[in-house]
Amino acid sequence: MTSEVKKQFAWQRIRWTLAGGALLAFATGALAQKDEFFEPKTSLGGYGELHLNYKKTENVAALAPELDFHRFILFLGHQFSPRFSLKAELELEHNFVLDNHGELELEQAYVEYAAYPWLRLQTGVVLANPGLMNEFHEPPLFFSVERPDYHNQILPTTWYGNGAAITGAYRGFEYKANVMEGLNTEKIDSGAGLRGGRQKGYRSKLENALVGLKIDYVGLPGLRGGLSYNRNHLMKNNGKQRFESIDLVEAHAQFEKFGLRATVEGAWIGYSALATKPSYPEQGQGLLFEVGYNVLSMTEFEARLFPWVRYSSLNRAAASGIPALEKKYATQKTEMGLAFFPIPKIAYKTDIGFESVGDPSVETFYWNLGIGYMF
Amino acid sequence: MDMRFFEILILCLAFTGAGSAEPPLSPASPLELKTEAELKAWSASQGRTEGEWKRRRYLLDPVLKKKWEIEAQQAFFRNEVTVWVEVHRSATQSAHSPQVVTKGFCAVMDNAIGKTQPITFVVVADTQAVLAHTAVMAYREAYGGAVGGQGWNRRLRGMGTEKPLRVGKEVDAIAGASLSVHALAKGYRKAAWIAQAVCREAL
Repeated sequence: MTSEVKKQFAWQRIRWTLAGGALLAFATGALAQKDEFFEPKTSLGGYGELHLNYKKTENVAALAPELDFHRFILFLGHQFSPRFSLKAELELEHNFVLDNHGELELEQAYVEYAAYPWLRLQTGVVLANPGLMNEFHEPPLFFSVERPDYHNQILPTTWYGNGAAITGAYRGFEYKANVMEGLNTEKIDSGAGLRGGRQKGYRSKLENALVGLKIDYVGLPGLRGGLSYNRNHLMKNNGKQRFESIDLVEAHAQFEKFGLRATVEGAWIGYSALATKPSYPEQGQGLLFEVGYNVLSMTEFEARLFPWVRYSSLNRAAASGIPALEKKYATQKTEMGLAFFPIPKIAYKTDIGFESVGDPSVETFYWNLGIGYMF
Repeated sequence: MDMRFFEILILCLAFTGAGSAEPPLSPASPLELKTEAELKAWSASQGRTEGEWKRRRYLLDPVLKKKWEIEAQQAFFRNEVTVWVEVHRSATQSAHSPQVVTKGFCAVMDNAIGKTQPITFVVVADTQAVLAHTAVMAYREAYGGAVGGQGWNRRLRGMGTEKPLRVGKEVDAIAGASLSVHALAKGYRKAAWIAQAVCREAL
């Protein structure tokens, strides 16, 4: 037996052992004792946010401020048995849907089988794992009126799709491993980043699955920090293919204690392009720093009031072999604002931002006002 | 909390027998056994080896239950909870002698709803409703299990429960466990008040 055949044989044994172990763990979970506090029931939840947005770019006439009920989400959960449950989120964006206006999306709809706290299987429309916000994006959980641009331009929050995920928590660590629909290679370019490539569960083609793993450490009170890696051999769209694969490496940390909340996130995307065209990036990069302090933390008030600042540096074409393209998408944004939480599940927010895209001498000013809730 | 109100109520309950309709004690469930093991481990860590934990069912008085729910801004999961009273080993060995609380620690196992699922926890508190120990015994949600961490719970030890336990102040916030943190901050207070009532009754 040659060394190559031996190696293949060893890998096959490892794969079978892992698959057998997982099956055994799920099966033994199914036989575990009954839960005395189990009550079959249906739960309703949700979140929403109304925004007022104003934007003014230098030397460009300002548009009238815009009022937008950006998101209205209903969460529906049903517990079938102590181990089996359904979790679903239906989202309406921008009040109504007509032609290309507004969106109605099934952002989550999965059956979860909880074998153990460290082993849960989610099957259906699941959330991808990268970053702090993709899985926790309710308005009272972040400071700004709009979600940070990092979670739009670099990580395509909310990133969801058909597939499966295994999640769990063990001794201060949490993990999530996904196998889900891949990205549409024809919709990815420097302008849209990964965002355009999401299939959003619409008759998704599973030519090549997105495979990813995130591991977080939450063992230190107030801290969540972790890493994720996702890889996708991209699907061919009618035989056409811009990229062979993408690799997304991402790190994040959030620390909240003594009234202080600090967040750091960074991501790198590597594109394996099959051809060189002006709109095809080779790399994308993003960094985000944010800090806020609850000025009411030293008082008796239960309410929280956070002045905060954020700096982000983003580029969907950080490397492309074409300097003009790399410069075109180089984005720097500084934001600051106030977030007031009279109770934990309601947020009133306002913020301003200064952004330069491509040309650092041309600045765009943003002002946002909003209210958000979750229940 | 209004201690005078509480004492008068307990006295009334003692005279009328309204609070003494205790549900029959069934064999310990797996979660109760797990909780007893947690209590024994806590006792050992505190050097409290002379006592042992006696399990009881405790039926919540409707008036008191409503008052606590309003004060904590959280509904109780059920009308009865499992409680443990720390008693002298010698007292339990004698069938005729009354059980005596050693230093007035009592424990309560209860549930608080996180996002959709109950989180089963145990709270050890004294006659002043001060938190001596808290632990999560069963976490059922997919996200937010970090509230079961010892570090997060350890910070609550020694805290009084007269005032709300505020997230970001008395209670550490945990990214990705927001609903669970708030649910337990309220649930722990309610459980501490039950423990206080049980301890005072036992004394």
